[in-house]
Amino acid sequence: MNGCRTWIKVVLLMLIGSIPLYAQINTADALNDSVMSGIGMDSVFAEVDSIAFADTLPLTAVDNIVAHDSPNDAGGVVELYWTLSRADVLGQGRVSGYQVLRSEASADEFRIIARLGPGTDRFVDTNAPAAVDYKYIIRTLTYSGDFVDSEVSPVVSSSGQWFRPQYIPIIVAIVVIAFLMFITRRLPVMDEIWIFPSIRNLAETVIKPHTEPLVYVPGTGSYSCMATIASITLMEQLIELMREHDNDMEVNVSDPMTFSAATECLENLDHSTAYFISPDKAVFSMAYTHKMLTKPVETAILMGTMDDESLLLTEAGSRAGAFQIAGTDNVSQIPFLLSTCELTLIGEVLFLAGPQLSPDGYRAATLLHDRLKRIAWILLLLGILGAKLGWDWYIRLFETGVR
Amino acid sequence: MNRDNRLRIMVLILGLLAILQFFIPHNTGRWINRFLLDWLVILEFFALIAGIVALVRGQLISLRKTQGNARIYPGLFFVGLAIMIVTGLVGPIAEGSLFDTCFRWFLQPLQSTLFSLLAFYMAYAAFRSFRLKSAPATILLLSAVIMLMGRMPLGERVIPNISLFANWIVRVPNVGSTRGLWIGIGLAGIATAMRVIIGIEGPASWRRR
Amino acid sequence: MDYPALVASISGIDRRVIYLVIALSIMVPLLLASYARVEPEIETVSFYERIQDLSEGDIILLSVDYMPGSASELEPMITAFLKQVFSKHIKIVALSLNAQGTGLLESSIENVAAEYGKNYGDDWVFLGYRPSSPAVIISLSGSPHSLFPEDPRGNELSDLPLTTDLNGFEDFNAIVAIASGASAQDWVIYGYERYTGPILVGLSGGIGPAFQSFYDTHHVKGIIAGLQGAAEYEQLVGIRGEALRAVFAQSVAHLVFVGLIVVGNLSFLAALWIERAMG
Repeated sequence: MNGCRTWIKVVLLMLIGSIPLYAQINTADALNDSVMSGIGMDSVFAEVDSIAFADTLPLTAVDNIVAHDSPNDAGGVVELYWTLSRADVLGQGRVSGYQVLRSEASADEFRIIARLGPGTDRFVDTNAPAAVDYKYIIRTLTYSGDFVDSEVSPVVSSSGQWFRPQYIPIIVAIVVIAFLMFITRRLPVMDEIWIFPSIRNLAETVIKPHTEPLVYVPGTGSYSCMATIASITLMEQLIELMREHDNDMEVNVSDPMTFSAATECLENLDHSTAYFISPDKAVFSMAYTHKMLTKPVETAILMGTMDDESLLLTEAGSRAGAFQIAGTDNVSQIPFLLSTCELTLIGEVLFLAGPQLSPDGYRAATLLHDRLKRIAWILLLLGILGAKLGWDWYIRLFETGVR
Repeated sequence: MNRDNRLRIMVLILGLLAILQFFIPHNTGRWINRFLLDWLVILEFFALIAGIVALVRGQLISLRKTQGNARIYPGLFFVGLAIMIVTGLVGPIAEGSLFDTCFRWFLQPLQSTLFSLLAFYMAYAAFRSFRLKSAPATILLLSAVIMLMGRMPLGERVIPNISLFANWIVRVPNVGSTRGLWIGIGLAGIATAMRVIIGIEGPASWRRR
Repeated sequence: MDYPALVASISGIDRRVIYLVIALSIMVPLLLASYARVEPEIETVSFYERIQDLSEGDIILLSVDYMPGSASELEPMITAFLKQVFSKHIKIVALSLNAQGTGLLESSIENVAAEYGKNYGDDWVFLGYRPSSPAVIISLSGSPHSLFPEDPRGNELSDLPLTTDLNGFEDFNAIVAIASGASAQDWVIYGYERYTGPILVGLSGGIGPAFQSFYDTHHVKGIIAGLQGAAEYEQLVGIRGEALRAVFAQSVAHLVFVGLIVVGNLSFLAALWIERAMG
């Protein structure tokens, strides 16, 4: 009966999981098209009737030149737009292209800075130093060598901006998270918060009496990875637990800054050492394997960012007969950890493990995480609805870049 | 103001600067970015020196304590370290130099060999752990077999249309579960980062005092 | 026959026997077999077609992050990519995000460039290595000159014809990231926000499936995943490279994997049945 329920749950989850995929594909397609045409990356090709008198059309210059500073950059970029020459729109191939000429506003020395093909109605000047005034002329050319210049554009200068308005949703998100962090720490004591079973098992393993030092690996990523910081936080909590039960720890580290942090943590635990091995993952894996196979090991804990070497590390522990607990934020390594370790902390559970084991932090961390995930759920469900109902405004709230 | 609070304020200021520069397209934002990166590189460099000193000390202890053939390993460590440091500092490091030869003919083949062990370890892990023990284990087993057969040329000849199932696994359940994991990891990472910047989480020494 | 002992010996088979079987399943096909024929996946076809859509004189930013350990998967991809690009007279600005892969990358490009008569400085430039891929990507969106004032050969970027006018991402017609590590994901996270053109990725086999969601949402416009992907790409480009040679051996190894799984499960089920039969 239980097996049946599990199968039903799995099938339902797969079907539900497919829905956002199809919604997003449709949304991404629709958005992509609208954004691409909005910023005009495609050339403009006007529909024309068959013109028999193409060669007799008077050659006219482009007009309605708009020149402005490119927004949301560090300066140095000017954008130009214009209405195409009538001969280009109607002349069926008479216009061979355009030249962009530029001069400083105080002088009249125009130089050619770009050559564009026919049908082009925009140009981005990426060599316009900030705070220098420029003016532009667009020269229309024909295959027979004739040309005509447009009127001089308005004077424009580039400048750097101090803020990207597209990033307002990110600021809102940071403010909301900070606010939630603030209020969850001040919530009154409630009923016991649920602790992940895997985290509870991890704590129970660590406090069991050990005759050999517990081996700990804070991943193979650098200290700038969040997973490494989460691993060090977890290590601190495990050290507190082990101190009460007289267990020792041996930490094997591949990153030098993580080594400094680990050394400082272990000052609190007697007969425990941190070893810096190598930032090279292959070398670290082999040194770790050698240690695991030449010394008796009861328990090995591997927590943090790991790449392909995760299987090398866990297989070494498996061959040594150690009880292995692993956790990583690297999604692609999770199957290897599941097949070689007795206990695996997947993804976010690694980040929650340290706070959940700390005496004062677990309530706040768990509640904060719960609330953040609920908000994410609501936003995702609204997104699915929005994709189906055509709420482009809602989807655009989450577009934070140049697209 | 005590040392811990001064450190917390410094962490807060630097964290806020790192966040701010992300929002400022002006050259000032880029300057802040380069400033922080340069200092990160400097810190990593000095941390690396500390790590190498600890490593050399550990190997010296190992050389003193071990007997017989086991002394080869710490001995090889010092020989390798000396060769790479001397050739790198004294000689040229361009293609064809001794330094480059040591890298291309020792380190690279060794690294490739070490990572090729993954194939053997994966085979043994698959043989040992992909068993029909429970419903989730059966799903894992079936998925593994379908993916192994479906994503290689011979698979279609053995089981026709297996690639359709393999592609469905990659494009539907894999995508759904990966997205869910990434959202959770992203949220947890943000919360962890903010706890560090605000000063709720910090070095163990902050809690001892 | 002593069935319980037989089943126990199969279940507890020495790992070295399995290692030997795997080794033979890879070595024998490599030595005996010739090039395989593969059916390209849509993601690989997309990668190929995006490059085909580019024109002579366009510039691609090539970012590579790999170690010698993943060279067997990624080098065939890089070689095939360079051949496709140079045959279309597209220019390349390359950089490395992994210190150990820097020399490998530069010599790969040099070899293919020499084959196609491409000149350094005009047709391709190698910027070198910088650590911390998120910071590199964010800096490059502005201008490569501040992060790479000169290349590893000592040339100032402002003196090289290809790079003198580069001012940021908008000067590149495509970004190609080939990686075995986290930098491919960093290009999606940080690069997608700052670049309007196509981002294409080549990945080692382990991280390929994780990028499927990025392909579905058009964050990346094409993926080459693993040795199989590299073989598909070589076939599309029309070259018979190392990946096409090796993919047959990989297929045989996969069949052996499946065989081992089946044998393992049969012995497991047999042991269960014997246990129940014995009461």
